[in-house]
Amino acid sequence: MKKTVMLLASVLTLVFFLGPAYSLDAGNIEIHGFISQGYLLTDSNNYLAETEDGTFEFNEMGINFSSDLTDLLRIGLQIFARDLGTVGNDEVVLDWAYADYRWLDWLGLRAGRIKIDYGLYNETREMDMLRTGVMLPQSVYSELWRDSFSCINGAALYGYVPMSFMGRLAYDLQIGAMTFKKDAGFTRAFGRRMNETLDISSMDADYAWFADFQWSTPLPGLKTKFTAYDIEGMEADGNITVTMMDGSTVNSAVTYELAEKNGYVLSLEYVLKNLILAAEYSEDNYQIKTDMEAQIQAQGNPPEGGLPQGDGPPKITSEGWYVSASYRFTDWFETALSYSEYYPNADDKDGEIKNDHGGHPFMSWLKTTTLSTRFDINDYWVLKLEASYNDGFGGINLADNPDELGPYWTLFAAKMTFSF
Amino acid sequence: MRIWQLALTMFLLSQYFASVPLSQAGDILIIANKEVPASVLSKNEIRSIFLGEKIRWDDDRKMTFVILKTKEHDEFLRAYIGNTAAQYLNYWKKMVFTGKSKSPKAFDTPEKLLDYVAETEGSVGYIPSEAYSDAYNDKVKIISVK
Repeated sequence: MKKTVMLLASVLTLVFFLGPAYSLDAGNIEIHGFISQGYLLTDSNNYLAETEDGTFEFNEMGINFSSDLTDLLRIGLQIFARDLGTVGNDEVVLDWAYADYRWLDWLGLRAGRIKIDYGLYNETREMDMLRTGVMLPQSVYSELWRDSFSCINGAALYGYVPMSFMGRLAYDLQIGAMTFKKDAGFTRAFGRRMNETLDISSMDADYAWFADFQWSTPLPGLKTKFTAYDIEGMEADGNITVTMMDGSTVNSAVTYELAEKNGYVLSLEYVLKNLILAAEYSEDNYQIKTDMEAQIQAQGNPPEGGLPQGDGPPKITSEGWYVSASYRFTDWFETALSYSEYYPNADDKDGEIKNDHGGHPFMSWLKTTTLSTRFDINDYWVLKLEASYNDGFGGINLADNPDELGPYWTLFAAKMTFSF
Repeated sequence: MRIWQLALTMFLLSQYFASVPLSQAGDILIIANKEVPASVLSKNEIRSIFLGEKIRWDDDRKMTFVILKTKEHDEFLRAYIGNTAAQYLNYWKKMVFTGKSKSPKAFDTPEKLLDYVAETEGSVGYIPSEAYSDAYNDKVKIISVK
């Protein structure tokens, strides 16, 4: 695998030293790529990696090939590798690969491995050079869900519908299978949410759908977007350690079935010359079918009438929103300011429930203020420097923090990207 | 109710006045291959074409748009697309890096763009008005903006 990463990095380096153009053209095949190296440092708490000591385990690289086979049919693929702490480790994966049949302006079909269209920026989150900041607002684009919410293996219908003086409507309807890796993405976040001792061995779902509608309003520069999604037949297998009523502990294999896993994002973006204002609000719901811990405890001391069934644990809704403003001062300098709030459990915004269960109340929220700067050195090189002040530690994987957590912490991020 | 009526009236007036300077704009000319079936395009249609949303002419022929790398590119974007050059480049990088489209063909000079449009069926582009001469009358057509 390391050989593949080296090959990918070598190709990108070769392109740089040969003198890059905006793209490479090999006959009818268009080639683009990017490579970035970042650095993360926190004053307290490890965030996504061993950041308290500073870490360079933060990079991304990708190269894509595409070609128009006919006037209507287009094919392409992108291979991608990334590293962020213990996630990715520069393993080369197929980022996207699909055929695109553009039949009419208002109707096209994509089939294959497709980037998930979720909110304003999910499709392009791997491509750092397409935004001002280093990190996307975690309230809507959680790093923990990144791998699972990156791509879907399936098909999509999409199109653009002019609406005369009412502006333009774009839609994108995607359906297919999502990928849940054991040690990354949603799987890690799910395990921590269910029980600290839960070790997930596999996670899968029957299928998922995403529906997007984007309206470019008659007011020039103003667009709004709505994304809804639903994941059907989702379940996770693993092992859990439960403390029984008599104080003994039991290790048991468990299967968590989700009765519900869905959510939506509302997005708004306004572009006025060099100013871009954006705001997004998201909700994410899940509900487990059966209370596994209650079942295991009941097995040790079965109540009359058998094991508890019922409706299972209550539905949990997480909620997040952010507002951001970015402004390009010159051809080479752009800055952005954003404020983001995220609540893993919208019914526990003040942390009382978390406190009652022995946790830190500040793990019930994450409030982040971020100042980003971007320097476009030339058409191919971008340098970004970013500082975030954080209140709380909600929705972040605790595995990187065996020691005591602090409620207030600052993240510094730097990233250099080359793209062509 | 009156506030809504007033708002609607102001909106319709702003749309009308917003369209006037474009139809009279003398600095940028929208040009197309001689065989293209359209002679008039709305500002919305031009925006959709140069954002890759509209890909076919009314006779079902494939549409190919081309852009300039000169300073007129900024003027065109400001007048028709409502983007800066950096935002437009970012938009197309997003399309390219998600596999949705190839990058637009771009030319260093209006003359090269004119030659390409003259030779390429279904193509459309823009040039500064001073770059156009009668010599191109038989090769390309000027598109009016309504």
